[in-house]
Amino acid sequence: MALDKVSDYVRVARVLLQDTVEDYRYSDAELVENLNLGLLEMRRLRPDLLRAYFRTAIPTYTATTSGLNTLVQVDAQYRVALLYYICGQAQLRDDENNEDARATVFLNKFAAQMLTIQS
Amino acid sequence: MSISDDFYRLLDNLRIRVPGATDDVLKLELFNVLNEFFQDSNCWFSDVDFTVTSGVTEYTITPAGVSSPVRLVGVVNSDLRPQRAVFALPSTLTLLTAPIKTETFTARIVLTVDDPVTTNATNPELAKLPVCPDWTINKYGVDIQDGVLGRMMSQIAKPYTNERMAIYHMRRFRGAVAQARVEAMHNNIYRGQNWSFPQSFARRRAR
Repeated sequence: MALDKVSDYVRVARVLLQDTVEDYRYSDAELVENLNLGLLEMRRLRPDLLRAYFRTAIPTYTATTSGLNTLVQVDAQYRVALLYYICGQAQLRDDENNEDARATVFLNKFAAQMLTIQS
Repeated sequence: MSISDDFYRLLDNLRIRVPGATDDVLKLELFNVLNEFFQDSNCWFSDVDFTVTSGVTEYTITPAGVSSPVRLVGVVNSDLRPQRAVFALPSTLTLLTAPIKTETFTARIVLTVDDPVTTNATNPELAKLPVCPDWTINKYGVDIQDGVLGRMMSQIAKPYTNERMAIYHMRRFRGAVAQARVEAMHNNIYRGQNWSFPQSFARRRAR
């Protein structure tokens, strides 16, 4: 299935961020950190999606080799939304390559997909 | 048809009608709906035999299987004569008249769902489902579906939040609960006893 592992999110996010050629603008560590932040936002907006972590800490992923191979336990219906959050958060960074509008679009898409039936 | 087929159909119907809902939450609400359904309809009951001892009035009733006792329908002795008893705490049956000899009494207990839910290692789809009688989902599947839909749609800030449809489905569900209660009271006999005293005669019998 698409977007199973941490590395899948990083790979697909790079496509959307137009950052597929090394040296990368966004390091793996940054993108994985955005994934971790996205999970916290998911917990706030849709606690039902992280019900497995009601009695334990929400997982924090790392950009190590083993960390990138870790499965991200998110329902298949909301993986694309999480991907948009990773991209939006990355584009928020003050960077001459970025446009605030793009960040807003990604983050709005994330929120909309969490709360409404919208693709 | 097996209960797994009934559950598959129920889950498939729910998935189609509640886009964006996860299976985990559907199963969570299914437990809540079945709990409400059984508690309010009295349609799941079990006859539990227990041995009484002379002079002892308090007994712990444990129904077989995964279920939780809700209320007492009645108690009979080994001659099938009704015995006066109360069920002040679920599971604790108190006879109002102490038995005079050792014999086996039978208590009819209304049951509801309880933990643990099912674990199915071979098929995760059938895991985390509440244990209930096979006939329940078959007979009341559409009604239980209404209950789950009503509860799902009444959740706030979800893609499937819909106050109007929540009211519609909950109204259908409550109607089904009332129907199930009547059917259970009449032992599912078509046109069973439907006569009753005028309500002005209705009185609770003092114990």
